[in-house]
Amino acid sequence: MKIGLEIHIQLPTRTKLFCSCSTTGDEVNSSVCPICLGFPGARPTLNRRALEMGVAIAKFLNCTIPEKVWFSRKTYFYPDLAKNYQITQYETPMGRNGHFMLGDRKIGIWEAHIEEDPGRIKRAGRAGEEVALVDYNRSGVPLVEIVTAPDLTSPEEARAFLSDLLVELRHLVGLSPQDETTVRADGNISVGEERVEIKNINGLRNIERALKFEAKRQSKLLAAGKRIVRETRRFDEELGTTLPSREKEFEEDYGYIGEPDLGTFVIGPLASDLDLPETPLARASRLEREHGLAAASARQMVLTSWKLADTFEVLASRFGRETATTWSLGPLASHWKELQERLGDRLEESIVPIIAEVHAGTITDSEARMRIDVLAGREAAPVASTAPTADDLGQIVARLVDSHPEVVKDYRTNPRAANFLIGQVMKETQGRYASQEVSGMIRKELEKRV
Amino acid sequence: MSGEIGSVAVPEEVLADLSDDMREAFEGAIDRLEGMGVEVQRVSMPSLRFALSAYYILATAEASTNMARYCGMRYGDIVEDTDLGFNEMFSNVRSRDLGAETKRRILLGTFCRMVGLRDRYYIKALQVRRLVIRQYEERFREADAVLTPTMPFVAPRFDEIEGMSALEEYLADTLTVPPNLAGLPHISLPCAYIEGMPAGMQLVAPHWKEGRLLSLAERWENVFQYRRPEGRT
Ligand SMILES: [Zn+2]
Repeated sequence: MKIGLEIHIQLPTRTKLFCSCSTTGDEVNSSVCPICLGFPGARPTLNRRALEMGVAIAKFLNCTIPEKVWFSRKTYFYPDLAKNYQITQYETPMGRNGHFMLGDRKIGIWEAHIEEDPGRIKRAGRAGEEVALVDYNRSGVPLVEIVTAPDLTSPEEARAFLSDLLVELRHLVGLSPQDETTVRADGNISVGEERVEIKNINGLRNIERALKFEAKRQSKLLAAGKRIVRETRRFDEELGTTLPSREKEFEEDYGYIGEPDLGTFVIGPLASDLDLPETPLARASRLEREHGLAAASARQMVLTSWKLADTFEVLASRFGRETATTWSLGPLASHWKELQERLGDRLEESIVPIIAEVHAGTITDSEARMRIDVLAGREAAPVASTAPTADDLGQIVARLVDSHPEVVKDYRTNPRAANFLIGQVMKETQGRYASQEVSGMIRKELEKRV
Repeated sequence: MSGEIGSVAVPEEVLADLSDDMREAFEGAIDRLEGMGVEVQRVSMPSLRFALSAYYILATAEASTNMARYCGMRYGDIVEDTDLGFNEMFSNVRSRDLGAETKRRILLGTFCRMVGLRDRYYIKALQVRRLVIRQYEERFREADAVLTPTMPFVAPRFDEIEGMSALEEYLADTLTVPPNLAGLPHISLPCAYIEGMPAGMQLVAPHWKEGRLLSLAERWENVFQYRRPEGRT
């Protein structure tokens, strides 16, 4: 089975591709101007940020990037297209002949280019008296189109590819959080010889559904000894089936010409000077390589949180990969959300001393686990009616030390006995104090009584 | 803006297509320029012959897309057509409201950028444009400006225009189109009177050298007697 995708993703710019209208308009037709409405004589100006994002994506996809690019007019008549042509890149996309690593599989990228979105048609009124209305808020919103080679071998793989691609692009250019439902794709799929194109599928889930249905349909036809007709189909989300496209089959002729209202843009230096940040999946494979993590674990870690991976790398550099792996993938990963919420910026400074102690053997694994649990607020101790202050910590410590004379006695010969009290205080204060502060104060209190 | 014109290049190709009276008037202007001390180089710029064709392909290709928005959605009257499919509605509006010359240019421009014809017309025209630009650049290495008449014949009167075909009208632009296609600064100066009608000469200079054109125009005004319409001074 061969599947190729043409993927459209909105670039997260503040303003549109060729005018200063906001890309977010609440009310219908509220974010429009003479340029994105295609007024006679209105001239486009390229959004620099969109150009940079396009270059970053092309470079990330390992494309060959041309020295200079220009734009083209793709002409077709449609009510949602303000000028009846779309400004896109035809002769000079941002990049060509790239690839994307889906695990170990190299998926070819034919090209990546940027273009403007048309408006949206909305139908209103009772059946029979239906009218079509156009909302131009989306007219001129920047999109990146990524075209893959037919290298994907199943609908599941196509979805995995899209999902991984979105993970990386989200980090690279900061896509909107709804990207998995707003991504649009055309899918080319052939089980036998002829390929069928499914146009305009919305969202990750529907893309997989449409491809699955189409794969099954084609397999059945072939099994019955029938031929597959080369055609364009559409996906019906309600029925979950692909249907022959209602639009007439015609040779697509967009009559491309260069856009005379925009110049040429020299992007060579921009592309070569651009330092791409490390993307999540690239980081996961580096962690896998450098620290011998299992692929799935490395992936889980970076996808859980970028900061968890940061903490892992700190722990690995200080205490070695074994300790770092055990604690990052175990107690830290499972309580990550709570730890982040409760500790925020103090997270690393609170965690590292605990791991340092367990690594040095001064506390046991279960004590360390308990202290992490406490930091995460997992074992709720009775909460004091007023919020504790530093003085409160002193009082709590003094009270606990007083009520555990056996610990004071032990401490004379075994300093590790203090760990019990540290755990108790951490529990009672629900991790509101850094463990270093707590242990420091307890040791001071114990020393007084020795 | 400074610079003088000490030499001009006159492309032989354009002289062949001039009306007799225009050629005579233009040669007279050349003599006068030489008298002013301007060196006149007789040169060859073969691409100028194709500039008009290239221009009409590029200009109409662009115009045909510029005009696409006048389809009735927001420009044009659609009152009676709302029940039709959009393709039919757009066609009706455009057929009814656009003028003959506009339609001619839309048809010509759309034809030139269609799949299968695009390479032969639109792309070829872009190549001609490059060639025109390159040949100007070559000339500017030897001469300060390129000199031609402004029009190949004396400006027609309105009653004469009525009898002209579209192609004959387009041919009137044959000398003004090349510098436009190349994006170069140029100036037109009256250089003779033919049966009372003014004949013009056109000077084309390199980018950013408008100063040369203006200073030559000033010198020309000192040696050439302009005839202004009666009743004005
Ligand atoms: Zn706008």
